Parts: sequence; structure tokens; C-alpha cells
Amino acid sequence: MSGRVQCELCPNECILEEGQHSRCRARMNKAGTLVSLVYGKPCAVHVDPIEKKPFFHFLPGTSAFSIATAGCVLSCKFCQNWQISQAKPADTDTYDLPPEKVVRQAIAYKCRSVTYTYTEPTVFYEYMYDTAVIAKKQKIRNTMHSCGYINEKPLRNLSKYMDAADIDLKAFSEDFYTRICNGSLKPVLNALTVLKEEGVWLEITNLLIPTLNDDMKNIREMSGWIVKNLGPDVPLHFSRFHPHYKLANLPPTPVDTLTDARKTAMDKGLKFVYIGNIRHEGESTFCPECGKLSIERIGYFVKQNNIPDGKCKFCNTSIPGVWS
Amino acid sequence: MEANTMKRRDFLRVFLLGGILTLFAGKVKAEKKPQNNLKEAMFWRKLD
Repeated sequence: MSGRVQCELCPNECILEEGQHSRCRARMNKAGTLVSLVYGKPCAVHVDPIEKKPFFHFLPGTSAFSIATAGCVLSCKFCQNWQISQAKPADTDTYDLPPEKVVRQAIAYKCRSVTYTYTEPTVFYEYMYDTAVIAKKQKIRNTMHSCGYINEKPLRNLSKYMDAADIDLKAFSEDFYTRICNGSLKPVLNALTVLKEEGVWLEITNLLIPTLNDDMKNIREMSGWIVKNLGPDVPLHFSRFHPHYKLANLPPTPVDTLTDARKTAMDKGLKFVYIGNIRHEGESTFCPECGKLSIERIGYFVKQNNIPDGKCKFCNTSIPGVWS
Repeated sequence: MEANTMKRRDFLRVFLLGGILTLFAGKVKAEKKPQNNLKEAMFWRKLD
């Protein structure tokens, strides 16, 4: 006799009657067993520069074999991939790509890593986990871009195989997470500290949205929290918002807002603060010691790399990151 | 009466012939429909 089940993967902790789908749409209660609806069935498969994820301190200039399935644990009004993140898996065109095939293709396309991204990798946890195990055996790194809305136990379990994570810290405000994302900030902060404890290389992305999360006081608080809890070496990416999805009425982020945010974060002690989705010197890495150009980037393209073996070639200072 | 007997013989003949042919015929290979095997999720519990 089948009955109700409770998912324990993310803070939504959906309770499902038989036949019912989870909030993320990627799981369902089938005859009293919780099953994944997306295992081995990505709807997005691409080879991207690792800088696109964005990872600026992780294997620069390399390619990442990137996959995603439909579904997401949140429902952000500004989602750039809403066509697949807010879709039901059955409504997307999918590939038949089991874990071992993901890794074979990553190798065939000369990718140094597999990246679980685009939508929300938490929803395809089992697929990501099994693929990561195989990838690690084949000396392919594993990275993910996630909203960080995942419970601690599965995150620690996954961290055994995850080499790097870029987490969206969407705003330093519970109100923002509730109103705009239909979620909560606290689990995301917890996920960040867990990843740090587990030794996963960490970078953070914040999409700056005019009128919603561009208050410099809030950015100062967020930066202070990062320095205190994660350390000053964690790269922070401020990304420019472009009108999209349910926030098409808002303007793009002014360049001044981005540069102000960057300055605010660096004044709080963060050493590596970047500006994304715009051509600016904030795309490049500068040595925090001598100030010289360490990695010059134009968009996702690495034009020059002056960090041989992870050290500034001008002053020999170690630059935090995973360089090989 | 004779006509009925003939019919019964014919029937028996066909019946026996059919039975013998069945014994020697190969199995019909019917392709199974691919099962939609869904992967059991990790990190969940039963409530009931």
C-alpha cells in the first residue's frame, strides 16, 4: 500500500501524496517511492569556457562540459534560464545521456571539467552525483553553479566529489529571497559555510538588480559577512542585470552601480571582486599584493595569464585558486 | 450421419495438425516495450 513521502534534499522538504510531483518538478512519489524524473535526461548540453560559469580562479582558459535538466528549487522572477528552470521535465526536449556518457563526451571534447549548471543542479542530484563519481575516477574535475538551496547532509555528501562551486548569493536579505525568489536566505548562507568547511573551491555570484538588491548598505553587509565567514580570498562576481522574464520592466544595471558595488566590497576587505556581463577592467584579476595584471580577460576569453603555478609572476605572491 | 462423422474427422485432423505444428514452431520474439525505469531518489523518507 503506497503512502506519502517527504523529500529531504532541499529546504522545501516537499511532502508528496502518491502521484504528486515535487515543487522543483524533478521528483515524484511513485507508488510510495520518491523517484527522479530527470536522471540521465539533460535538456541542455554545451561546451563552455569555464569563465562563463563564472569561475575565474579555477582552471582558467579551459573548457567545461556543461549539463542541466529541467526544474528548480526556487522561482526567481529574474531567472535567465526560466524556459527550462521553470519547466516540467516532460515539457522539455531531452538527450539520452547517462553519467558514463557525460564523462566520455567531456573527455572527447577535451574538457577539463564537467559543470552542473544552467538551471539548478540540486534538482538532478542523483544524476550529478553518479556522474561526479565517474568523472573523478577519470581525473575530470566537477564544478557546479547552484543557488545553494540544498540541505546540509546531501551537500556534504556531494562535496566529496565536487571540486568547485559558484553559488548565487542573490541578496543579503530574507525579504528579497521571500518576495522575489520564493525561498529563504539562511539555507544559502549555511550552504556557503559547508562548502568552505568541505574544502570545495568557492566563488560567489550576485546579480545586481536595480531597485531590488542594489542598496550599497546591503552590499556592505553581504561583503562583511563573506569576509568574516568565508574569508577575504573568495572571489565575488557582481553581474549586470538585463531586463528579463518577470522583471522586464526594470532597466539594466547602471555601470556606476556595478563599479560602486565592486568598490564597496573591496573596501570591506574582499580581494577579488569582479564585474560580469559587461566589458570592464573588473573582468580581469589583479595581484592583491603588487597590483599588477594577473589574468587579463575579455568576456570569457583569457588574453593573458601571469599566474604560472598559482603565483604572481611579478612579485611571486600566491594567488588563491585552483590553477592546475 | 456419415457427413457428421466426416466433419468430426476433419476437425480432429486439423486439431492434431495444429498441435504438431505448434510443437515445432519457434517462439515468437516479442520486443518488450522499454520500461520507464525511474531512478529512486536519494535523501527522502516515507511518512506513512
